[in-house]
Amino acid sequence: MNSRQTRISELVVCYILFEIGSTTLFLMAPEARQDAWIAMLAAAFGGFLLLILYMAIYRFDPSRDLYALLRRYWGKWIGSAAGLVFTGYFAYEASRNLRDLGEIASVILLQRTPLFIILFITILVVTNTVRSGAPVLFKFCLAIFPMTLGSFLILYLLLFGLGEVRIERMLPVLESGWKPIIDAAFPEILSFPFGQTVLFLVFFPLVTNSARKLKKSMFITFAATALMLTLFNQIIILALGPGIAANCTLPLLQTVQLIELGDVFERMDIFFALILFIGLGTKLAAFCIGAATGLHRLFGLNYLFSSVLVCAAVFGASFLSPNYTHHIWMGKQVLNWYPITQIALPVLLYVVMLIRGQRAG
Amino acid sequence: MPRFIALMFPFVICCFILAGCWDRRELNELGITSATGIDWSDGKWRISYQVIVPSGMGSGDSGGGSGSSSHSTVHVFSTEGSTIREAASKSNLEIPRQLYFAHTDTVIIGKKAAEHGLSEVVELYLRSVEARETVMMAVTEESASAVLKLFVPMEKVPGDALNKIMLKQKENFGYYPAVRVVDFARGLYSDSRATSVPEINLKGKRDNKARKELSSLDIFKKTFSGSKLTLTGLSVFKDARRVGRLDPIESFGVSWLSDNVRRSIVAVPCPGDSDPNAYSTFRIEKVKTKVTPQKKQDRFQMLVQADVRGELLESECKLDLTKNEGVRKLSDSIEQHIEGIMETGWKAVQRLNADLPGFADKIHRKYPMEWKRLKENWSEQFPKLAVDTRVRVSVIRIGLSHKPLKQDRSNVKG
Repeated sequence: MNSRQTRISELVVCYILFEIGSTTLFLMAPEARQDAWIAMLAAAFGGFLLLILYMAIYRFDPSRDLYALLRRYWGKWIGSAAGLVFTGYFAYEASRNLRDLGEIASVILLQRTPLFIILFITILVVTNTVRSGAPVLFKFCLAIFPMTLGSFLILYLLLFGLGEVRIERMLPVLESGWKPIIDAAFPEILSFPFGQTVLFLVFFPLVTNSARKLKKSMFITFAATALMLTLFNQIIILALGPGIAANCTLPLLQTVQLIELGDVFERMDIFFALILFIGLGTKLAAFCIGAATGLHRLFGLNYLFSSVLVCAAVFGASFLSPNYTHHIWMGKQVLNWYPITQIALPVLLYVVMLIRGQRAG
Repeated sequence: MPRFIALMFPFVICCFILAGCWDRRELNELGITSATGIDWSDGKWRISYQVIVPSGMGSGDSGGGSGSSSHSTVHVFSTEGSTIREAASKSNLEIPRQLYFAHTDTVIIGKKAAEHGLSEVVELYLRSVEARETVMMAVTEESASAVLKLFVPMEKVPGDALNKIMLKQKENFGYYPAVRVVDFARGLYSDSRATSVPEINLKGKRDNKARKELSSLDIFKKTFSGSKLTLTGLSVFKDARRVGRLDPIESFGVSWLSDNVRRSIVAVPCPGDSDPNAYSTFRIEKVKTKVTPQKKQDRFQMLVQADVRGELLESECKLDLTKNEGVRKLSDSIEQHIEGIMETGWKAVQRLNADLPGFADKIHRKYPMEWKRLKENWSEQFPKLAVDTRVRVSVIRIGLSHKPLKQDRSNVKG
């Protein structure tokens, strides 16, 4: 792992790309229909509480990453076991992202190319990123960030400008009451995307600036990201209408296909594919780095070796589902297990940290 | 040197990989479709494709004819199948190129297919990655394949021309809405469940000789044509099935009620004039129609408020437009005329019991609780709605003359 300086801005940018990464792939809270924004904000509040927890863990012991913390406060054996659980969780998330990427490429770009080839090429590229380490990933995110955000802005400006976004579809508000909103927000939206930021417990110690500045930056970034995600999600519903949007496999793609300006700006699908690839790729690399760091720290394996091992495992795991429907179904099933790694374990960790007292340094 | 080779190596590999193996699509293997025609009879779908012939496109601008080349710019194929996609893939038996629908501008639907129901068509467009949902829809009385074979004079590619006709018409005339597949789909998912699609038919001479003439390049060598493709009416759909037709004035009225009018022209009879042929022409430049549901005891009333601004283009009336009085009389008569058009439209949708102006959605948004009650028997409730139309017209400009010529001359004589 290269020991280069990581600035706060780089970590923060990686966080933003990470969150936007695969969230725009799906429609959040389809059951809430036009009240999806309320569900998103409610889940964002929950995510905010989680972020407070993660930041508290970080503040308590800023120099140790997740695995070192687990080993320090839970002892060698239980700590390593818990660390392995996290490693497996990160690797599984990575394999899901890889499969998502492969599916998108298959559906919109390369219909006849075998999935194996697409996934293989992707994992080769990602392995190369992972072996360079987290600081390099952050710098890459910094470079890619303006283009990604610019693409989003262009797409949404075009949608608004062409009148495709019908604001009146926001009404009637709270038509079906609070129940569908709460059902949609917890645990689904809370886990994905907000709960996945538990990964960043591995990355926080890499930042060489002060811990307090990082905390403030993270909270501001979280608020901005949550608002952005809510807006992006709501635009899809306002453009397509809740009925059509809920039935789409790739709602943002359908939305983007509506753009038709002059005779030139049509079929902006490729913008969509670009944004998704970048986002999913970032998420994929981040999760793989998280898992590889785990193997490296817990078992003392060479980092290069553990990154190749993790990526190979992720590649293999991405073939778990034989078809698209099964892949989506499994995603819904595993949501029930996520609160363990995202909420329960960090809470326990923090509690033990408090009990065992101040051990900074 | 070895370092240079090591750096160049990935680029060379990329060149091999990026060319694409399985998914390459050469341009001369594609048959780019400019328009699709959908017909249905006895459980079989008959799909027609207006494929662009590259050699016919040649040189020459978009307005010019094809004097330079003797090839037609498009060619029409038709295939049959039990589903639309099956029919499309049967084209492999006849056409040497692979059909490419990404540049299709128009989809023409035959009347029988429209009456059978278009949910299959919409489902296909939504599910397919390549087929754009932004294609313009039109219905025709005869078969769609017959319409695809006809040229629109002055334009090279008929599919593109029909698309432009419908778009420009909506912007400048407002009689018919420009309905894309996605608008149709949105209508299916809406509370009103009713949508409308403009109708295109051949007007003028409709015999075989006229059709043959309009199907060949010879039409570009003539100065006029006895028959042409025209928008003639509005097909009304309920739940994706065609249930009836509105004539142009009724359709214009519905456009007013749905806030679909942007710019238009109305010919208004002169107020208080004994001459039945005296008209004024008023160009509408800016319109905003607001429809608000109002609760009156247990009935709903839709308040339609239209704010119209425009310019006087010509007038035969005995009005003194230099005085406020005259202009007010004129704008009053225009208001009455427009309200009459709206009434005509409203009566027509009442007759067909089709909620084209989308009143259901408006009630749903403003009174969600009442909507829950009304939802069940909306088809009974809808015709019982009362519509209160209030139009406000401002004649902003009157052109380069003051008084109408007739008025001015009659004064001189006396």
